[in-house]
Amino acid sequence: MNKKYLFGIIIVLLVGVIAVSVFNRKKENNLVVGSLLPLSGQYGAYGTMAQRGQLLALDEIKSKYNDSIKIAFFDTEYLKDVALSRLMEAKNNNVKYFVEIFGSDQVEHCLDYAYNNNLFVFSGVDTKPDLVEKGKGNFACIMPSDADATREIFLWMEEQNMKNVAILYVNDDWGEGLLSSALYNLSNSSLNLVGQFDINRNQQSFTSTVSKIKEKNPDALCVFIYPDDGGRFIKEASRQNLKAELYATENFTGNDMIKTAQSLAEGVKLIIPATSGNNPVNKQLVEKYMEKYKEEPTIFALKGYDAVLVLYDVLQKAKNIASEDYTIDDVKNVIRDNYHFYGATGDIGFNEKGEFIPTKYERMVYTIKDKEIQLVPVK
Amino acid sequence: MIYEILKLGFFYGCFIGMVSIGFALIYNILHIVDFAHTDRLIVSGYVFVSALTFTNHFAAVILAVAAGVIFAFLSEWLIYRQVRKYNPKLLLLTTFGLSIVIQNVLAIIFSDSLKEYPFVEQTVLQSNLYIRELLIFPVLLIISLLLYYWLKKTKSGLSIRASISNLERAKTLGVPINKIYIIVFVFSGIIAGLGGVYLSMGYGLTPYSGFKIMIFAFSACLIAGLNNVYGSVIIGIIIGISLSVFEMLFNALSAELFTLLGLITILFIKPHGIFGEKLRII
Amino acid sequence: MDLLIYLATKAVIFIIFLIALNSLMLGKMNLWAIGNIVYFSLGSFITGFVSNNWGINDNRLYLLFLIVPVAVSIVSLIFFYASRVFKQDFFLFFSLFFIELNFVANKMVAGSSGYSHIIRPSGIQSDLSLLVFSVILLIICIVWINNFDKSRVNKLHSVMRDSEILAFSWGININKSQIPLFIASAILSGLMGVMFAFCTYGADPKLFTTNNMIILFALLILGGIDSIQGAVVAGLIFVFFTYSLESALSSTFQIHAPKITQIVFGILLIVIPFIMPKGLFGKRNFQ
Repeated sequence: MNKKYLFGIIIVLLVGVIAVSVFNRKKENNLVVGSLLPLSGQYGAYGTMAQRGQLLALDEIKSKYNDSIKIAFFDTEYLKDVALSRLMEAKNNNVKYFVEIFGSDQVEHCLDYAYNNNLFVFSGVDTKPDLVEKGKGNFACIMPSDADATREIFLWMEEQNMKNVAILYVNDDWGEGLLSSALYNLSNSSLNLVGQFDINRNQQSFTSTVSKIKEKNPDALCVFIYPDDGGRFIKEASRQNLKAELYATENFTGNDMIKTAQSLAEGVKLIIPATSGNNPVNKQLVEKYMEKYKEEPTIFALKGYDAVLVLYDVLQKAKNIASEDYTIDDVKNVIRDNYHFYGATGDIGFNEKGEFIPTKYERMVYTIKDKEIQLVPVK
Repeated sequence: MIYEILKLGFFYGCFIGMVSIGFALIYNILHIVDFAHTDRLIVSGYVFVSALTFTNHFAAVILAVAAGVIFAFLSEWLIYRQVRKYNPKLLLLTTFGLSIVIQNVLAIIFSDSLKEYPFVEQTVLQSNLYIRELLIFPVLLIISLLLYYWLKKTKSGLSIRASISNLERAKTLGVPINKIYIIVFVFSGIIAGLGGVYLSMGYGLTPYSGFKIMIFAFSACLIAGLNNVYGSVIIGIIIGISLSVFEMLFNALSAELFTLLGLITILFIKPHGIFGEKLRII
Repeated sequence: MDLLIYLATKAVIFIIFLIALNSLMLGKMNLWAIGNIVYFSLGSFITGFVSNNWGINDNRLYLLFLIVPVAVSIVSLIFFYASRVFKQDFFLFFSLFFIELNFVANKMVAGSSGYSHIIRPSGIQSDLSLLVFSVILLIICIVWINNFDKSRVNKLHSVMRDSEILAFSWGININKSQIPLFIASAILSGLMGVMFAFCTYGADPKLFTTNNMIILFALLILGGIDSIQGAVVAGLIFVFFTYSLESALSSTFQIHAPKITQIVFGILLIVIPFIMPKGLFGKRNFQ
């Protein structure tokens, strides 16, 4: 076949493929919100946790309000570029409201586009402190920021008479964000920073890391790493007899750490946004989650659940005020108007700037109870 | 701390050295870098970890080695041999393709998260060494000695050396070349199996961890000189130690950077390798 | 529509990058230059560095079209002299080193998630204007390559590619003759890196990995060696077909769509020697 014709045929075929996939979308009559999560790759497990919480929230909305809102899930692979193109694709499909763009760097990368295209982004898990400001009103989140978390940790350390502190962090956007917040808060505390150490995500050996930390001999170690890496770190720390007290954020909860470190996790201290206690919503969600997925929900699932319910509630309130033609400005006004919602993670409220009012933190410690390692509140 | 670092580096280097033996053998026979070699290692690792859920360690090791051997055999028989018949020059791309397919199939089956060894490792007696650390160096020595004995003293080893020396002449003299390839791949499969066991016990597995190991293991072959299988073991150990030392001095990311820079510098100065002869125009 | 323009711009950028790789490195010098992704990433990261660290977000960004060529020329010269003794599979392996080194260095300098919020200079601020600019660059590139193909210098490179010994016997200094092409290919790749950073508003180290480069290389082989049409087809498939396949698979195999796409490309790499050793539009067989 003549090469020119072949070339032409290939171009036509490719254009056809593009047209079919990009433009041929069913028009949805129901409300569709977008959720951009890493469903594959190193962070796929966390995206999946958030997705599970969101799906349970959908079931809740259906059973309670008989409303069939849909969530369009997009896999961002935890890449900024892919997140942006998925956001464009979602916008192409008339999705204006997003219940999640997972990853502080990913959402930051998308905020300009969201603002310029009048999209509203809600998040259950992003923690970078300046996202609301950068979102220019088109972004809201319900997770306390890194600044609040690290402040709480250092307060606890001071109460426990710790003097020398070291920080261990994973060198990705989340870990680096926590580090910069920690360094800022550390400068306002009486604690002395003796070292900061970074690890790679899924780092295979912690021998050098633990040896270096041991050399600095800190009283306390902030562990800003993922639970699966954390489990292996704790194993190595135990082997090398590292004496420092370990402090971590809510990200450190979950089965991954326990599966690996098992009883060695005893004594690890965590601060988590207050979700326990007599919270019937939380108890109900935990029951449903365990029934469906046979494991306890992590903070990602809890926040994913709350994010969907809060966004739905806000959209309904905006509809009530401004009828079916409600706009993003109506949604923003609802959030800023003394809005409160009681979810699985406790009271969710925003100030007049649309910033999340952080809840109290609970202090927890891993303790061996009935031969099992469990997270118990510190009295 | 220095002791811990050097110890860690030495054992990791032994692992790299062992993997580089497989690369060196395949390269000398087929004259290609088999990028899928470390992916077969990862497959063996996953088989080992999965087998531990229903059997004991010894049986799991046997299964892992068997998986490595079967994969290596199938790679050669089903894919590489057919590609060689059509266009041997594209074999390199084929190994890449196979590597990508294996990685992503593993990621689909086992997910991208790190798969851990399901037990807490215990140190042996008072030595502060894990059992895999105690065994890796003797296993490496045994493999090297077996290889030496096999190549020097056996008929099949002689055939392999003849094929390495001059493939065309070996063919005309009736050396069963396809059989030789199978034997070499089976041997590399055994190495992959044992390597997979070591890696899964000590470091955990992700579907994509094979790539970095491949970089370091093959560079050990290159720097040693491609015809020097035993030299690659020594260079592998040196690479392992340098990774550990740089990690101690800086951090994990810098360790890779400085080690890679060092390797490139050595290749720049000695492109034919430290111990190798000038085989051909590279 | 903006998604289509965005993808089209990316496709044009990759087409120019692949033309630089296919027509210059692979076509003229028979070098498996997968290391060209390093120049591409350098262009992106220099753009990110200038924009984020130096805070330059106005028309001075156009100076990048001068700065980046100088920077990548220096790097390519270093790489050329470091790799001059390596050919084919060794050159490819040495290039792998280079890519890995670049990846680690990028992470160290720019952080694990790279740079964001890269502002485009005026004139190419809208997506459409950026696309138009990219298409103009593509046309210039195609015209230049076509003229080069018809020139005497190309004949010289054909001789060197087919038989280095013959060229050497004619008194041709092979290394010296290859340097201009090396640098030209690096400059084109670097400039496309700058365009890519403008297009995606960022530079992420995870995009410039060996896996992506191997897939591009495989698509080039499919397209055909030393062929502009081959590079065009490869670029279009890499951007559009990948995106469409992942979108289509997402509804059924949500979490596996990117992996299945990679498996498809891996199988392509295995099967190409059987079905089309010359590719679709190649001028000769892959060597």
